Amino acid sequence: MSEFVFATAQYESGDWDSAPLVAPNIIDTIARYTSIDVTPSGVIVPLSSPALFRYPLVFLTGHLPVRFADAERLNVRSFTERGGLLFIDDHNHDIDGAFHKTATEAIRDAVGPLVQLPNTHSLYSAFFTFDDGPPATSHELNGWGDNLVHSHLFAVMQGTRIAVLYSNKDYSSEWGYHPDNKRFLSIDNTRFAVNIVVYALTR
Amino acid sequence: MRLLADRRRITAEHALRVISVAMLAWMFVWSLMPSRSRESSARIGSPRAVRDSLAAWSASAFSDSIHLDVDTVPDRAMRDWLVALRRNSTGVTWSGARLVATAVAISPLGSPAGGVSIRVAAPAGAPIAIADALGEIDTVTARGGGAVLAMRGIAAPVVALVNGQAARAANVDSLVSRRVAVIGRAHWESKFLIAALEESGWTVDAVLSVAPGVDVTQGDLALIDTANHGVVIMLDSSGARFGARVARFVRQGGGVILLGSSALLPALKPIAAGTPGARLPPRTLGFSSESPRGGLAFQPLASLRNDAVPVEQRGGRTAIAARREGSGRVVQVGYIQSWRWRLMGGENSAEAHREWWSDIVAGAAYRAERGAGVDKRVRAGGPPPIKQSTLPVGNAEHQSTAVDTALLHITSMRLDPAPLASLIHDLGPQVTRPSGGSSLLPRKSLPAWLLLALFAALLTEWASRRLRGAR
Repeated sequence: MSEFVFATAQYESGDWDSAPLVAPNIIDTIARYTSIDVTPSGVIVPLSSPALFRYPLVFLTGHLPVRFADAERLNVRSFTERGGLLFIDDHNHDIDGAFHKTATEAIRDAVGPLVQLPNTHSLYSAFFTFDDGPPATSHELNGWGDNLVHSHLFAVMQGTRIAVLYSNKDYSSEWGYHPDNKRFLSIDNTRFAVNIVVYALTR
Repeated sequence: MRLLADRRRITAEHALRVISVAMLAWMFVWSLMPSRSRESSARIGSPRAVRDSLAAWSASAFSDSIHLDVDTVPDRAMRDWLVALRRNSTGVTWSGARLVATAVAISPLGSPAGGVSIRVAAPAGAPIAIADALGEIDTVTARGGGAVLAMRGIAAPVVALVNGQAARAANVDSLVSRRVAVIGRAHWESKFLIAALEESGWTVDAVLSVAPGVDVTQGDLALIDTANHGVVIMLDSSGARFGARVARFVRQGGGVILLGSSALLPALKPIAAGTPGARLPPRTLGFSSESPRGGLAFQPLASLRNDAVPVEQRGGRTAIAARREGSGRVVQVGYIQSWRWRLMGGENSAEAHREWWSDIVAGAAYRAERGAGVDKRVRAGGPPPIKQSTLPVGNAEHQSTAVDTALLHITSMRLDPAPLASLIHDLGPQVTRPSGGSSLLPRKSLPAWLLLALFAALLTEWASRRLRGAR
């Protein structure tokens, strides 16, 4: 049995499956750069299911409002208390959008308030080094034309450990392509995903 | 008539004189008689009765043999007294068919949380009450040869009371907990093992391999020696380059915990407890409190070395084994992916997983004593003792005022970790109570009675002579 399985969270509200290509792309990246024993295909795990606890790193994304059902909220709370890491990405790359507002509220209720993660955090040097913090996405720089570049990620900390990592940078769009297309990039834009996975596996 | 009266009076005076001389002769002869008829014997039911009898026997010039028939072991002070009597030519023997063989030993836990391990020897099924200087702590039922409890926040001395027999011991010096080194691949086991240890207070250094030639490091593993580290945990075979250093560390007194394929590394195979076998699936679907690790897959440890001790077995196969290598300790764990227990095991699984790993590490850790004195964290008392009992706790309603009072009294007495063993050491093995020749009267009463009678006879004879005008 492989140690690392990339898991995407399925939740009752919203469009949890808005970025289906992220999982295979990250799996490809992990296999490409590391010796981590990774399962070739990802899994989808309902947030309200006990199966959530089989996957200590879970990815959650979407465009639409997020409202956790009671079972989802309780499960997420237990999951993070026991050491799991929930990585949430706002597929809208907004700070005022529906996903951002509702997702941050849902996380606050389930786990705790999000705080800005310093750009010197060990997450940014867990494997590759990102001196300026989270790498900007092409959608931030020129995709939407709104000049909205998010300089920081957010997190709910449990002690010194990240329990929930929250991004408005829209990595869901940035990483949502077929892995074979990496050959057209001068710099692999999925490298930050390696940092997230390595951080989750080692901290 | 008067002459007749005087004659009778004189005759009585002669008689009194003869009686006095006879009594003096009797006392002289009695003092020279063999001791068989003057042995003292007492059935003792309480320490106070022993103490009272000892005072009487010691004040008596007639005791040259004492037999104690006791139902509790006399305390250390009384035993010292008996030994003193014995060394002054008083024969002392004892018997006690109902005496309980019990002992208590305290040793510090090599855990950063401090605390002590309390081991009590007692007959199987016997209730054991544990107390310290502040009162009763817990009650347990002995299994096998006794009970083992882990506690912190105790106020020495600790007393174990088994069927009325108390054993007292004080905790020894605490241990310095050194850092823990974790070496292996980056995967969930390494993450949650490190988390469990850090949450338990251990300082962890780690080298986790994430890619060929790329390690994620935490702390400093440049030197692996007993000055810096207490335990090294080898998660898998990825730490081959550390193998020789780890083997040397163990021979110097350090501890190593081997998981999975790490026991097959050429440098570590000679010190491993056994060989990990083929992976077996979990025995149960979930994680229950009765069998918390039943839901884990494991590799049974086969070909155990002669000096290896199975520590935990599952389904007749060894899941954990340990052995000594030089002055170091080797613990080999066959369980796989214990992190699943922490995440999937239910409400208290994270705590249970944490305690389990911390106990294993503490058991294997290099033991460096902190020097003189008692660990301040333990001595300070602080919150009520935190029980990490490895045995089921007895009836909490067992507490009673009488027991509390007795325990509090007992804790103020001198240390006596193994009363029956000490009694045998001091006075020799028990002997059958001598038959016949024994008297329940204290020996000193006979000379006192004789002396009074002698005095009365002489006084009467003298007064009679003086009253009739004779000298």
